[in-house]
Formats: sequence, C-alpha cells, structure tokens
Amino acid sequence: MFRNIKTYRPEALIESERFRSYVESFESELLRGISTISALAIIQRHPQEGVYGYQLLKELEQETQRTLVIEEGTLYPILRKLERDGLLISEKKESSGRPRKYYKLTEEGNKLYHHMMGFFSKLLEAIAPLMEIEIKLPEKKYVYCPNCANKIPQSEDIRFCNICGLNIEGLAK
Amino acid sequence: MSNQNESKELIEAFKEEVKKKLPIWLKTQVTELKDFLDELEDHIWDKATELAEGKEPDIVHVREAIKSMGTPRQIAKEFRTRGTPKFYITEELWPPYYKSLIFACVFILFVNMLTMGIKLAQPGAVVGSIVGQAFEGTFAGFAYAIVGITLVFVQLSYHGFLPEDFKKLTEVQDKKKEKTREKRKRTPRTRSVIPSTGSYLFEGIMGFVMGGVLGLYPFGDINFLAEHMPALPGWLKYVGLVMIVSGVIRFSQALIGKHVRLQQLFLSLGIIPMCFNLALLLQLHFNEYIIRKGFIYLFPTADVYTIIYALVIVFSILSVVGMLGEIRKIAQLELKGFEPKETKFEKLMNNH
Repeated sequence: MFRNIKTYRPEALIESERFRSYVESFESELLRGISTISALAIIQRHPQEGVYGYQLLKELEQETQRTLVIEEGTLYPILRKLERDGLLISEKKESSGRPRKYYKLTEEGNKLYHHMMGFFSKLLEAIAPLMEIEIKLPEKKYVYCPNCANKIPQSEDIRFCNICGLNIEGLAK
Repeated sequence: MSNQNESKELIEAFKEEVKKKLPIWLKTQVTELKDFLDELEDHIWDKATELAEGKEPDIVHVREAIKSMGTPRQIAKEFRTRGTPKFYITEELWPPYYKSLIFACVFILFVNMLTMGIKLAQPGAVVGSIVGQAFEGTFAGFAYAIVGITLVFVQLSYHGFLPEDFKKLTEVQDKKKEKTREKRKRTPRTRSVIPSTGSYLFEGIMGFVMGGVLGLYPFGDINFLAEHMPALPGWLKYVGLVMIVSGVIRFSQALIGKHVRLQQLFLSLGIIPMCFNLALLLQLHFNEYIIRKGFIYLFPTADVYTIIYALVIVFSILSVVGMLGEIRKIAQLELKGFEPKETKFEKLMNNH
C-alpha cells in the first residue's frame, strides 16, 4: 500500500523503522492468501485457453484498480506452488512470437477454488460489522455450504457439497 | 555493445542473481529451474515491450521492467516460505531429522563396539583402557553427529526443503519403481519387527540361568581341564557375565513392551555384550590355553589349529551378522513402529 511513496514526512508514524516493518510484514502476511485467491479467480476465468503470468497480473491490476499489487516476480513462485499442489496445470504455447506458459485450473483446483472463495466471502461477511463495512453475499446466485462454506452455484443441481459431502438439498432458494 | 545485447546481458545477470538466491531444493531440479527462469525472462520482455508502447524495448525499459519484478531476494523468499516453523528446524523435517540422528548414533555405536571387540581379542589387551576408549569414541561420535546433522537440517529448513524434495532428488523416472511403491502401499504393514515379549522373557531368563551356571564354573574338579585348558575357567566366567548382561537387556526389553524409543535404546545396548562376545570368540584363536592345547592333547592327529581358526571365523561372522540384525531392527522400528494401540476414547468414538 505504501510502495508508491518514496519519502514520508518526518512525523509520519510510518517513518519509524519499527512500525514500518510491522506494517509491511502485516500487509505481506495478509496479502499472501489474498494473492493466491485472486490469482485463482483470474485463472478461473480462462478455463479453455488458460492464462500466462503477465496477462494474469495485468487483469489483476485492472480488476482491483491497482490496489492489490503483487511484486511481479513473486507471482511465479505462487503459481508454481499451486501447480505442485495439483490446483493448476500448465502448458507451453507460442504467443506473439514468444513461448509462454499458460496456467489452467485442474478439476480439483476448481473445486478448491470455490471452497476458498466461499470461505473467504463468509469470513468477510462475518468480520464486516467489526470493520463497519457492509458485505452482501450473492445468496440468490450461490449456496454457501453451512459446514465448510463451499460456494455452490444455485443453478447447479447438487445434492451434496463436493468438498465436505454435507447434504445441501433444500438449502437452495 | 548494441542496445539489444545490453538488455539481454542485464536480464541474464538478473536471472543469475535470482538463481543464486533460490533454495537448494529448486536448484537441484534442473528442468523446473530453467523453466522458472525462462518464465521470469518472458515476463520482463513483456513488461519492457509494454513500457516501450509496443516498440522494440531499449535498456531503459528493460531496467524498469526488472525493477517491477521485485528484488531477487524477494522472489527467492517466496520459495522459502515452505514448512511450518518449529524451533530452527521445520515441523516437516523433524521426522527425517530424528531418523538421521538415530541411524547415525546406532552406526557410530556399532563401529566403536566392533572396534572394541576386535581390540579386546588381541593378546595383552588392557581391557579398561580399550573399553574407555570405545565409550569416549562413541560419545565424541554422538556429539559430532548431533551437531553436524542438526546444522544440515537447520540449513535445509532455512531453504524451505520438504521431505518430498529428498524423494525427488533420488527419484528415477522409472514406472516400475512407481508400481513397486504402489504395491508397497497396498500391502498391509508387517508389524513383527521384534520378537514377542514372551520370547524376550525366555531369552532373558536363559541368559540369567546359563550365565549364572558358567559364572559359578561347576567344572573345577575336572583335572584334565585344569591341566590342559588352564585359561578356560576365566574365559567361561567372562562368557557367563556377558550372558547375564544380555539377559538383563532382553528382560528389560520384555518389560518395556511396545515403546519404540526405549526398545531402540535397549537394542543399541544389546550390541555392547555382542561385541564382548566377539572379543571372547577371537580369544579362542589368540589364546591357546583356553581350548586349543586341550584339544591337541585329545586329538593329536587332527589339525586342531585350523579347525578352531575356521570355527572362530564362522562364529565371528555370525556374531557381526547378529549385530547388524539388531541395527536392522532399530531401523525397522523407526520406519514401521508398532501397531498403534487404540485408546479407550478412540474405541468409543469408532463404535459410534
């Protein structure tokens, strides 16, 4: 958040090395999980052709109005970890005269992505009053599993949560 | 130098710097490493091209693109976040750390005890000094092993090494191996790593009885033995003592039951009397007054020297095999353990 500011006024709290490092470490911890979810959200939008690193960052910047800024080089370790964990698969394809690595969600990755999204959304909804903000979840569009918070589209005729196996029949509105 | 070459050189230098900072486990995976560095390079060219508004990027654009990548340290740091912190060694690395320590300590004990056994068998050996040296060597070896292995694992934890990376290092791209592993997974674990409590109790009691009998030496009245085998009583007393010590160890093992660490400890201790046994066996060859003179008197035409020598060699080999067997049991206990005992709580939970 403070990355674009080169110098601070001397009386600014952030000028203190101690507080600046605290804030930076807090932000980096918070951003780690959020970056992963956000990257997955972008990848999920390209189920057929996949998305390559640079394209992913560009879309992320546009979607978040440059609020969620990831150090560009650090995106690739994240993608590789997701690939190693079986959430992503990659494929090398030629594009604009350059070989690029396109990432796509695996079947399991897609399921886990919905679970992570659901969990994060429910978490935001729960803590919203503490932060004096309002969060309205699209409950007409999705069912959130009461057990694991998995986000399930209302349009799909699913009887059991595909993450925790809970019977969700009757929860759809 | 042309603009293009200068840009390429700068990108190569950046890649080299990132590579230097990367954890060892990634450096060992050559294809993945190359793939990762190529991906970074593609990103830099994409960014530089965008900064150059679609034209051929020059060195200024490349420099700017590299800046936005983050520092090589930051990039490498993302790979080092693997593993759950637990003291200086990550939680994931504790089991291999323990195993390495145990194997190293058992190996050091084995080598020292074997050396002690052989030294003790030499004529004119000073028992106290040799035993002292063996224990000193063992403890010094333990200390070196603990410090060395700990340092290695601290370093591996710092680099974000995980147990699966060890496997990757040794993994051969052979489907047969994969199949064997699958088979092994399917095969139920054999749990009879060490003999039953009853067997240990029997061995313990036998050790006490036989050792006691030999220690008392009930053959004192036999004139032939006193005349032709004068060193035999002393030798038998030592054998008896070693049997009693082995019996105590076996008896303790029977009492310990299924406690992995204590069983491993006593299996290690069991190697000590085995080494003394080896020394006593070798004494049969080196000291002619134990049995050789007597047998030469009894069988003057036979090649007693060669027969005893051959028997000593055979039994010594069996003794060393026995020691290795104990080490194998320690290793198997570490790898397989005992069948976990279902607690009352688990039983109740499972019943419902």
